[in-house]
Amino acid sequence: MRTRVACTFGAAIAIAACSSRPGKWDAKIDTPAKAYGLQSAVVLVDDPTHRLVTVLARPDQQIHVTPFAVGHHVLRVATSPDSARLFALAAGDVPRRSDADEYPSLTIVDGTPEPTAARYTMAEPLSNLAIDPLGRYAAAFAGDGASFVENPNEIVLFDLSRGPDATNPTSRTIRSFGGKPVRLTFTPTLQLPAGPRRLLIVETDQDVAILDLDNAWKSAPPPELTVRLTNGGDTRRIAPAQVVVDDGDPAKNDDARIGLRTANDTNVVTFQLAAAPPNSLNDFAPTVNLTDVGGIASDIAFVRTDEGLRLAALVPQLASAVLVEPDTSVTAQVKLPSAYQRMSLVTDIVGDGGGTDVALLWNGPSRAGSGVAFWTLGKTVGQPYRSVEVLPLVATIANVVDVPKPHGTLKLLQTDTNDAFYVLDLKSRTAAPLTTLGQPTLATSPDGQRIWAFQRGTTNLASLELENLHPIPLLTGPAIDSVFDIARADGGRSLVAIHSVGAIGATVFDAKNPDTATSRIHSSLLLQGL
Amino acid sequence: MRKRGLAATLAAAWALSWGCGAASDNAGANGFGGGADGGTNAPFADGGTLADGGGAFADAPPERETEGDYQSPVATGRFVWVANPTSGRVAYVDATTLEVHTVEAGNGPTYLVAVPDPKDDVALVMNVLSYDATLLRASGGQLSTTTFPIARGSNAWAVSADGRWAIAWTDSTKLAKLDPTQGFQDVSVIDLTGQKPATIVAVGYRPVKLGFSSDGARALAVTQDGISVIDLTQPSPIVIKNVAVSDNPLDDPGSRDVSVTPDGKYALIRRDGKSDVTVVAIDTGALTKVQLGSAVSDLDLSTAGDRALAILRDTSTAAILPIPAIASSPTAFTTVTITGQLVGSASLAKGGKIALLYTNAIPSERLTVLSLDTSQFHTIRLYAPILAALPADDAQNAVVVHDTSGDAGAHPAFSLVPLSGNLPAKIVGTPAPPQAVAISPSSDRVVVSVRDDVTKTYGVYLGKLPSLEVDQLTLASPPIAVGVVAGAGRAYVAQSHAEGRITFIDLSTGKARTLTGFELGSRVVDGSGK
Repeated sequence: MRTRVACTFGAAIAIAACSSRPGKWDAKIDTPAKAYGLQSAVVLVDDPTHRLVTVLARPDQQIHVTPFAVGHHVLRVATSPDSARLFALAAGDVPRRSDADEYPSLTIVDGTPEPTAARYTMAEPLSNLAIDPLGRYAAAFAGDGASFVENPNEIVLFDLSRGPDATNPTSRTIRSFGGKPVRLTFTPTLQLPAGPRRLLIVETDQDVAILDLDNAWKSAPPPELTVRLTNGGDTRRIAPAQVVVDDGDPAKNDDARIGLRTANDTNVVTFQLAAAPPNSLNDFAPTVNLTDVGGIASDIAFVRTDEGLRLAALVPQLASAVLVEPDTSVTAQVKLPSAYQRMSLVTDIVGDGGGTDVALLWNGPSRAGSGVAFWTLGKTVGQPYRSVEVLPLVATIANVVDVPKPHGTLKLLQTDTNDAFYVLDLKSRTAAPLTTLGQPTLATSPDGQRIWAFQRGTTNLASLELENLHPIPLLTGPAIDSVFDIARADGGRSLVAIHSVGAIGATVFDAKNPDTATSRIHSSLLLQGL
Repeated sequence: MRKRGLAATLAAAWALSWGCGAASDNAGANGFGGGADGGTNAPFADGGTLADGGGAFADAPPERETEGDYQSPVATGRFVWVANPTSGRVAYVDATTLEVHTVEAGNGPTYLVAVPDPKDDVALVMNVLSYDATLLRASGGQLSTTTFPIARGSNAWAVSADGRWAIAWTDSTKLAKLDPTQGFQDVSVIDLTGQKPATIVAVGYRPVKLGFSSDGARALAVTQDGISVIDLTQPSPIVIKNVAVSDNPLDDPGSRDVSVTPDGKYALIRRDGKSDVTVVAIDTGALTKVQLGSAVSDLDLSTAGDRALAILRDTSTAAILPIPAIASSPTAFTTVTITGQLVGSASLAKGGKIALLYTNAIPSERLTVLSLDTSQFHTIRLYAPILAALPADDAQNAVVVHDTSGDAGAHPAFSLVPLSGNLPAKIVGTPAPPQAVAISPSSDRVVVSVRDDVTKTYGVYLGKLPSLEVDQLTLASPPIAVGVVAGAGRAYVAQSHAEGRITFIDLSTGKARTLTGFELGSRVVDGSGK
């Protein structure tokens, strides 16, 4: 960290006024830059000055910078899945010594069309944040410890459909049998016996809690349902590792299910959400079903086959997938060509419309040529699936990145090596390798037209048009820390490459027609608006 | 709403005696009659030495008393109860809501029995390590427990039809490598109302059957020494006499098949290879020998105890013995010769008007339906050898399990058989031998589980009567018992699984729901204070 005095090489005016300048000018600058991308803005977190600095792109590679106040001592920042909003959790001033000291808070920056900010005050500082993919809710919960004594089971719920008031946010302490929340998942709307519901699934380090979001703001909300994962007969501690949700038949209201895999047990668990017994405080209740899949599952998903809904579990230990019939726990093992560890459903992209799913399998063992595989569900004689088609690649696929429309049929395959990545075409089932001279960091443009590849800490940057996979090499002056492809008000798009130098700089390119020659560098972004 | 006891809930249940580890015990809550054999054949049977058999079938082995070897599921009006000897808990599953709860019992809860009760769901579990029994009463959403001491080594229950009395006793046929000094003569008589103290009394050597007179005044223990009579009207239950069942002191008790009328007044004794039936008037001890002229291969008593049916295989004759008249007039029986057929076993339908006659001593595909009122009969040809036949309560249809053992060599199968003789039977081939059968009290549904541990093939069939439509369901684990919870409109299949597994089948839709992990299911906490 450096002070602004030392690093404002581009701000000579400030030096002249040094003796009477506000204290913010002496505030430290956090590096590397904490930058986040929204649809049409880059947001820099300037915690020492308690600001969020939004950078908007203008034509001709110009920028417009607007700061917003943020709570003191930012603990966590995240963006919504659609990049429309940014959420910044702040601890406030702990302990508060005066009325001027701030309470913990959540600041939300809505990035479109012009950035605006709202702040929700909390009673306790919490450092973890879960964001509803549907945009209605957010939840803050304890993380690494933000204060001397912390209640790790307190969850603060935000209803983002309305502004802050006396009941928003609302705080809940989930009952604990010794565990504490690790991961929170917002479900889509599920058709439950008492009506449609959205639920918050809380995975602790040893059990699972289910909280009714639609009734969470009632004056006497129903308590959460807690499902313990051990029978109490031994000292095992079974840790949840993933939950998946399925609403079942749209015409039914008693077949919504939650699937769960654990990090250290060979059983997968399904909870069917059925009507609650009389006198229950909740109007639904989970019925528990354990199924041993023969090894520790590395990924699970609800899939649709010719024979109905199944919970698919990848079991690398068996180099297999196991299909679990949730009504009977009957399993069918599907031997795979490699021990794949991850899967993504790609039915919407490559499905035949016949109602059965297609899964993309990846993350097989290194040097096994496992690449990726297309697992087509359905059933043919003698086997509970239609086909498994392998696309052998040299490197292990470590991550799969979605590409937005209009190139939604493409996936970026990030490898565990430093010299290549692949563009996978799901339709043609081809994987085009793209070689690099160093470990690339990839970013897809929200308009689905291009990929940006850069090597963090260097000046190497490239644009890759997805239409023809034509790479355009680019260069920046300072080293690149992160890049963001954002929309401009004029309908164009700009690529903003952030540099963690000085008071944070940025090089701006015309994203649709990138050229180093027409790029423009902007420095001292965090000094603007002080 | 008046609840049914188990005897009423399960119209019929049948299971092969292959020791599947079921935690339940015989649950017949009636007296001695009822047409259900008590399984007295097993350890004492005389290996097929039909000394005076003669005739064409003298070399045939004895009939196998398959339908008498119940592994009755422990179900009450609404709940299915399952004991877990390891955890010390008993799980009870609401068959309507599929809600699972567990309750602490004593040490090693193992043998469960349903207790008839007019309004509550009541079960009784024997705790084999703490030498006590726990009465479990579910009433109004609450479960209460009461503990009673019992004799060590008990492993079987008898419960009076009114649910007031229970007797814990030791069925030596379940034990191996017995020493002659092990008499198992201590039986524990428990007044479940608590009005009288639980009392351990000594009965004759190695009891084989326990029951109660229909007026609840006496309990009767069929032993190798005769029938011990326990007076329940005394301040504390006491054995008041022992009634000999043979005038021959050298008579082999192991060859006896003893049936006692529901009112507890008469006992009928069949002996392997003998052509007479001994009728014992328990009040007076008077013995009457009814000479039937040929070896009696089976003897069944009607539910009401007003007549018995003796089968003389060597002459393919059925002898109908009126009770009590036969005790005073030993020739007052009628005979029906089943011309052209070989019959050695009988199954009496509820009501005692219809009997199913067949033989399983040799491969035979013929089932004879005999009206005991008119002595009319007709024979139905089936398409595989018969192992057992179970009539529905309404005597309109029956389930026939086919024999796959030994020389029979047939493919596993069962048949649904209309008993009118006007309609053909439907044979259903199965991938594994039928393991257990249950027929709904309304006689319109049949549940047949199949199990093959070698091929790990497990399944259950739901048959609809009278349409004979059959649906099949694969099971994930070995079935151990089937039953019908009439109050919930569901059948269930209890399965062998470390965490406990039960599959419920909706009798209307055939839709299955499986619960696995009773302890986990019961540990769902909803904050309702339960």
